[in-house]
Amino acid sequence: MTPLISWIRLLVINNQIFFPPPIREVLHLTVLSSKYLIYFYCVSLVLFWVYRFGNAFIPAAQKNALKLVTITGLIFYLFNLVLLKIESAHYPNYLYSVSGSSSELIAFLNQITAVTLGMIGFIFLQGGRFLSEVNHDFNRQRFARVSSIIKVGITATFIFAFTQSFHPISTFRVAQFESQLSYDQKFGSDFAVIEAVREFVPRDGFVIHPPQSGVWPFIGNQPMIRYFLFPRKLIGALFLHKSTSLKEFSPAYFAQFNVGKASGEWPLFATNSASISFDVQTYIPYQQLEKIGQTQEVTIYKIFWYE
Amino acid sequence: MNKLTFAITFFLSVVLLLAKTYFFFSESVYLYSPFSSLELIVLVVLLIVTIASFLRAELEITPFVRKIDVPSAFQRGIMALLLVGVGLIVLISFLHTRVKAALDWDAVALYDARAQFLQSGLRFSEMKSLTTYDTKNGYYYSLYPPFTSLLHLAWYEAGVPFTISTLYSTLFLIFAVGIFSLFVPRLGASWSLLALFVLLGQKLLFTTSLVAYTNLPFTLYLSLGVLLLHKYLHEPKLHWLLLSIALIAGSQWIRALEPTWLAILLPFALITLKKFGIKASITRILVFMLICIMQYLSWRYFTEVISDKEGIFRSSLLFLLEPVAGVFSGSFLLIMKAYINMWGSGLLLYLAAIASSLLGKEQEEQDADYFLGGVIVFSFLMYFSGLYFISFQFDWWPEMGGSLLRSSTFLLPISIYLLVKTVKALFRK
Repeated sequence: MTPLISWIRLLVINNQIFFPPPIREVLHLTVLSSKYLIYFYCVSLVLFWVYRFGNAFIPAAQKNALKLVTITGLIFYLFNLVLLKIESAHYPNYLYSVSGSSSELIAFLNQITAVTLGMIGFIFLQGGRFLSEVNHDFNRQRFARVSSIIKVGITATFIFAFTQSFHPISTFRVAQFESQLSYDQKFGSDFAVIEAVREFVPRDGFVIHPPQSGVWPFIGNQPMIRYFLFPRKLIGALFLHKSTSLKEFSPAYFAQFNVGKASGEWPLFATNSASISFDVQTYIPYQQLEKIGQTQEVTIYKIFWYE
Repeated sequence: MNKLTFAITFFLSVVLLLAKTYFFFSESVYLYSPFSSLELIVLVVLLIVTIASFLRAELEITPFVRKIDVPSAFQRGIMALLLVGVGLIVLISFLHTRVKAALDWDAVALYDARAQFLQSGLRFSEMKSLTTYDTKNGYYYSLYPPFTSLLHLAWYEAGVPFTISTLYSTLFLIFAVGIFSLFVPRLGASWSLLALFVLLGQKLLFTTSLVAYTNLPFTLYLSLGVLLLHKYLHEPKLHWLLLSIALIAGSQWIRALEPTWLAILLPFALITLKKFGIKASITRILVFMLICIMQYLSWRYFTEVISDKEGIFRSSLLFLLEPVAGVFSGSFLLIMKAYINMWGSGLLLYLAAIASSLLGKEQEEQDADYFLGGVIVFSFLMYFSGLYFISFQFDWWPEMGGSLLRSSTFLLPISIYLLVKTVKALFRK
C-alpha cells in the first residue's frame, strides 16, 4: 500500500486545481499522523493475539497466518532496505522526488516491521503460552492476562530498543567523517577571523569582537573565541559602546571581515568622520586607526581612542 | 564480580577525592572555609569505612555454596557474539575519538577552556575576571562544577599522547565494565551482555562518549551509584551504601543544575523505610541526605561567595505565583505537551521500565525494583518541574530539550535492566 499511497500523495501535491490548500492541509495532517496510527495498529494486533491465545496453543490455521506475515514482513523489510540504499546512492529526497515515498517513513515502517517480526518470533518460541499457570479464579485470570499483555508490551519495547542499538555501527562512516572535521570546517568562514587575530594581535592585547547574536553566533560568543585567543583580553561590542571611558582600552585591536557582503559586515566605518560602529547602531569617534595585518578575507586594525 | 564492582566504584570515588583535593588546595580561601574542610574529611572517612566494611565482608565465611550454572554450547556462542558486539561498540567509540581534531561547542567554550586556563596558572575563582568586558556571560565559568575540567587538566599534565576526546571513550569503557559487573549477579552473564549491548548502542548514550562534555561522567557516577543502591537493597552491606552515596553526592561536583540526588534519595528513603523499618533506616537516610546537602552547599558557597557568581534564575514571589496560576490558565498543558515531545521515543522505554518495576514476584526483588521505578518517576517529575518553572522566566526554554535528554541518560541503564529482567522471566517460562 505504501508506494500506492505515496504516489497518490505526490499527485495531490503537484495538482493545485483539484486540491486547494485547505484540502492539502488536511491530507498533510493525515499523512503525518498515519505513521503513529500504523504503529498503534500493528502493536494492537499483536496484543490481540496474546489476549486471544493466552494459555492456549495457537491453532494450525493461525500459525500458518503468522508464518505468512513473517515471510511477507521479511520481504517488505528487505525491499525497503533496497529503497533506502538507492536513496543513499543518489541524493537526499531522491525517492520522494521520484515516487513520493519519504525515506524517513520507509525507515520508520522498517522499525515497525522489525518489532512485529520480533514479536512473532517470540510467540513461536513461547509455543503460544503466556500465562504461567491455569487458574480457575476469574479475577486472578483476568489480572494475569492484563499482566501478560503488559509483559508483551515490555518485550516489544525491548525489541524496539534492540533495533536502535545498531546506531554506532550503521552511522560509523558519517560519524568518522564528522570526527575528523577541523575547527575551520566546523565553524565556517568565521574561523578565518580567529586565525588572523592570532597571527597579528599580541598576546597581551585587547581584542574587540562583534555582539553575540544570530548574525555572529560564533565570532560574537566571547567564551567560544576566548578558547582560541586566550590570554588576549576580549571586549564585547555592546560593553564598549556602553562604556563611559575608553582610555583603559587604548590601544585595542579588531578584525574587519565580510566586507561588501549583504549581511554580516563588521564593523561599520562612518563615511564622513573618524568614527566607527561595533554594535552596528551607534558610532564612537576614534583618534587613530592603523592597519597592521591582512589575510585573504580579514583585515586587522589597531585603534586608539581619545584620552 | 563483587570485587570488580568494588574496584571500579572505589576507583571512581578516589578520582573524585583527588580532584576535590587539588581544587581545594588551589583555592586557598576556600580551603580554610568550614565547608571545604568538612567535605574533605567526610569523604576520606567515608572511603576508609568503605574499605573496612568490604574487607570484613570478604573475610566472612559464606555458609552456602552458590550453584553455578554451566552454560551450554549454544549459550556460549550467543555470549561470544554479544561480547563481540559490545567490544565493537566500545572500539567504534575509540576509533572516532582517536581522530577527533576539533572539540564541540561546550567543550570549547567551557570544559576544555577552563583546563587551558588552569594550565596557564589561573584559578577557578579568578575566571570571573575573564568576563569583565562581556555583557552576557558574566556567570559562565561558574555555571558548571569543575570536575570535567579537572579531568582534562590531569590528562594534559600527564602528557597522555592521545586526544582529550579519548578520555571519554575510556570513561565509556569503564561505564561498560561497571554496569556489567552490577548486572551479572541479577541477570546472569548472557542476559547482562545482551542488556549491555542494547544499552551501549543507544544513540543518546553512545554520542555522549564522542563529546567532551559533562554528560558521560555524570551518567557514569549517577548510574553506578543508583545500581549500587539497588544492590544494597538486595545485599545490605555498608560498603555498597557508602560507595553509592559517594558517587551520587559526588555527581553534584560534575553537574549541579538539577537536584538529581533528591530524585534518587526520595525513592530510596521510601523503600528503605518499608523494607527495614524506621529505626534501622533513619540513620542511613540522614547520612545520605546530609552528605548530599553538604556537597550542594559547598559548591554553592564557592560560586556565590568566593567566585561571586550572579544567579541566572530569578526567585521572587511573582516568579513563584506565575507557574501556579499557569496550572489553571492552560500553560501547564502546553508545557506538558512540549515536555512529552522532548522525550520522543525514549518515553516509551521509560514507561515500559516503570511497568517492569511493578511486575516482580518475590518481595525482596520487588522492593529493589520499586526503587528503580521510583527513580525514573521522581526524575521525570523533577525534570518537568524544572522545565515548567524555567518556561516562565526564559523564552529559550524550548531549547532545553537536548540538554534535558543528555543529562537524563543515567536513566537508560536502569530502564534497560528492568526491561531485560522482565524479558528474561518470560523466556524462563
